[in-house]
This record gives sequence, structure tokens and C-alpha cells, in this order.
Amino acid sequence: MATTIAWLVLLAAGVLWEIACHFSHGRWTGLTALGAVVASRLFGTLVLIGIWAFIGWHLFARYTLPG
Amino acid sequence: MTWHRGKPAVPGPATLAGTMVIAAYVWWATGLHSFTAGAYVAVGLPVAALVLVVLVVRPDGSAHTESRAGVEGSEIRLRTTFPWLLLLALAVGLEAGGLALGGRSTVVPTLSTVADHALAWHAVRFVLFCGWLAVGWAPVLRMTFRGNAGDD
Repeated sequence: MATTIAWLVLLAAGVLWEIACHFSHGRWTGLTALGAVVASRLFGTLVLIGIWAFIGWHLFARYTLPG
Repeated sequence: MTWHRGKPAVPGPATLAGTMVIAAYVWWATGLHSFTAGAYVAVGLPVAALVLVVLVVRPDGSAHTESRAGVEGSEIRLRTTFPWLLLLALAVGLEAGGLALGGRSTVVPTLSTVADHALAWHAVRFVLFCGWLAVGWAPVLRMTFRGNAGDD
């Protein structure tokens, strides 16, 4: 249970930090800005799509119902 | 949906129809049983469409050049990204702990195990799938709308 809460806290921290980065006017780098750096080249764009596809398949085609 | 002078325009019938079709597709896709060919294809179709758009259509050919110039001018250093590295290290530590205990431990679950509990509900899968689609397609749509706004 404690580890599940830790995961949820980590996810929430990531979302909140991304929002904070967005309003920091470049002082802090958000994932969006990092993604823009990677996606500025075609190879980087395809790598990002690959990661996105992996997450999609892992979550929605390979999930296991508990119990 | 188009934006003019900072105010959102009312979405047109085409936008509404497109949203309904996508919502219906997502509801169908998230209702399929996992580990089936249909589930793999349902996730693969938006991926294939996005690859096609990026490789063939290129919604805004100048966007790569513009974003690269903007990105190189911005300051992305270890100092500005270390909170992400800290979060990543914590996540890797938790995941490694869960995997070391066999990957299905209820005491130290992996991220996949935690996600599986949430994915038991169709509505949650629907919302997460919509979010996943938005994350992948948002940059392309943003470039498209920016290009259309530039045409005005």
C-alpha cells in the first residue's frame, strides 16, 4: 500500500512539476521542452513515437486484470 | 477548433463529428480483451497514422527548423532538469525493488501492477487512452492549427 501511494505521489509530483516548469518562463525545463529538443530532428521524432507506442501497447493491449 | 486573437472559436460540426468518432473508437478499443490481436491493432492504428503523418504529410515543414532554432536558443542544462532526474531515480528505484521481488508483489508493486489495478475499469481505460492519444497527437495538431492560423 505504501509503495502504491509512493507511485501516485511520484506521478502527481511529475504532473505538478511539469506545470511549474511551464510557468517558470524558462528557468526550469519541462518534459514538453525536452520533447521539443528531441523532436526537432526526424530521428528524435520517431524515437518519441516509438516510446509513445510502447506505452500504448503496454497499457492498453498487455494489461492484466488483478485478481 | 481554431483560435483567433486569444479567444477560442466555437468548434464546427466537423470538429464535433471528429471528436465523436474518436471517442467511439477509443471506447471500442478499450473494450477489447488484452493480449488479443484486436487490442494490438487498435493501439497500432493511431501509431501508424501518426508515423504516416510525420513521414509523408509533415503538417508544418518549417516547424522542425523553427523549433530547433528556438530550442537551441533556450537554456537546457543539468541545473534546469535535475528535478526530473531525481524523480526518474526514485521511479527506477521503486521499479527495481518491485522487480527484485518478482514483479507481482503486493507490498512493493511495480508501476505496471499499480496501473493494472486502475485499468480494471473500462472508464479509466477510456480516459487514459484519450490522454495517451492527446500526448502523441497534440504536437502534430498544434503545428497544423498554427499553420492554419498563419494562413489567415
